[in-house]
Amino acid sequence: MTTTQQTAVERCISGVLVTEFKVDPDTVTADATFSSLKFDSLVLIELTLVLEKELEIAIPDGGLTDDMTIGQAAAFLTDLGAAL
Amino acid sequence: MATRPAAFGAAITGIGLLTPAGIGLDANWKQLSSGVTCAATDEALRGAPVDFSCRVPGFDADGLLGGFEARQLARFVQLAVVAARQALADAGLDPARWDGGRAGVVLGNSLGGLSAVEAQTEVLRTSGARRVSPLTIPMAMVNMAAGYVAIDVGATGPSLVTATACASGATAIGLGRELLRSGACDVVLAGGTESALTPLALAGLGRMGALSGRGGEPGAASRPFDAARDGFVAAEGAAVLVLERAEDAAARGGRVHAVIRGYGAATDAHHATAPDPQGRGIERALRTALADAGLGASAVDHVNAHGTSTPMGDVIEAQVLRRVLGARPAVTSTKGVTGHALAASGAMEAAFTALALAHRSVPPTANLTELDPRVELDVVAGAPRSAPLDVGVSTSLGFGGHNAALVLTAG
Repeated sequence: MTTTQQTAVERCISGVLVTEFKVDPDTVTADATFSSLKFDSLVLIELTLVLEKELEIAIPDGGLTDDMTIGQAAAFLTDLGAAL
Repeated sequence: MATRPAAFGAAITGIGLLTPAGIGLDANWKQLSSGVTCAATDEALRGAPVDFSCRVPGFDADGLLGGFEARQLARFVQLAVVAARQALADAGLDPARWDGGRAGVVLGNSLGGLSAVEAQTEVLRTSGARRVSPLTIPMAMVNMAAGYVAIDVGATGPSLVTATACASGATAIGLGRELLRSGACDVVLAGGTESALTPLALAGLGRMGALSGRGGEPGAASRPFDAARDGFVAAEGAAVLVLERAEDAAARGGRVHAVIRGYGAATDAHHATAPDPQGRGIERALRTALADAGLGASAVDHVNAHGTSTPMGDVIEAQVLRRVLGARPAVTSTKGVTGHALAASGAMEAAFTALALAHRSVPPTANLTELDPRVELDVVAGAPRSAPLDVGVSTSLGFGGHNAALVLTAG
């Protein structure tokens, strides 16, 4: 079940992808995987660093993977205690 | 002495240019012909001892490359990729239709992604190692210029980056021609790129005494061969040439801007940054290039000199040019307009030499109002000079004592 908090985290991720990583907003959906958005392992680390700041959490290295969807990432980060 | 094969011609069938003089061939030629310098106060250098430079105007990396890709590339790579695309379009070559295994990339670069290094050094200092971007090294590495251009255009033949400081672009073109001559490639993207206009780079160059100190009048700062010159103006830019064997270009029916007919390289083995006082390295490079081209010195109509606007370098080079070529060639230094784009400069100036031959016009040396009396050359100043031009030479010298000369003939 999607919680309000998870929805907010998903919005945060989507916002970062568009504003910080210049991803085409039309391609940013809950079902989009990072690999479909051309994120490789290096860019995923960059994303991790940005989201750690935005969400005020520590994300373990390798926590975000390229086969993860934005929705799955939001759930994962919510479980880690993402604060919004 | 080994017998020399007949002069080998590498046709320049495409040119991509992103320089302080503009983006594209027309913009560059118009600005060069105007003889108006591009040097201006640089907001990114505000507060630095030298706060002016020559930047590529209006370069929209996000628009040209897509924001997602552009943010992963250092600016010197962005410039190279766009220049390579321009050059291929100019040549009428479609990378989707070529045999990528027969295509090579040779680009010159010197300082790599210095701005990324500076920024991430600050991150390391203030926030610790874990916050350092994993793109730091890919953005810093000089070879990424050739590596990423190869990715972008699908060139899977040989690729490399030459690092002979301010001769890098000319070295790249010379080696690119060798890849055609050896048969290793059928098409080579050859050129140079540089973008390192950072406070650290400018501080370092300034402390070397290499830069002009005319902070109050940047428009007058780059003045090659002028008696009042006091150093160069740092610049950025990229130039990429599409090279093909002359016979292949003719068979394809493509336009030929000019032909790279000779290349020579030599090293001073004298000092890390000071040129040989007699210019022996650049003299040997020039004589080698003429021999490679199978041409005598009297055949040379035009020289695009390295001429950076430094007090010592310009005189040494001028004396070599006079000694080898005499006083007849029409000489210019386009660095008066563009400033000194370091590793890109040799490639930019090879392109400018090709354009001069094609237009049969020598662009003037900006800000040259009083020729240094030790420069006993016919240096074009004030306005472009129209003349029948068949043979042109471009010279390049770099820190480390690297020297390169290219001989071009009209297409």
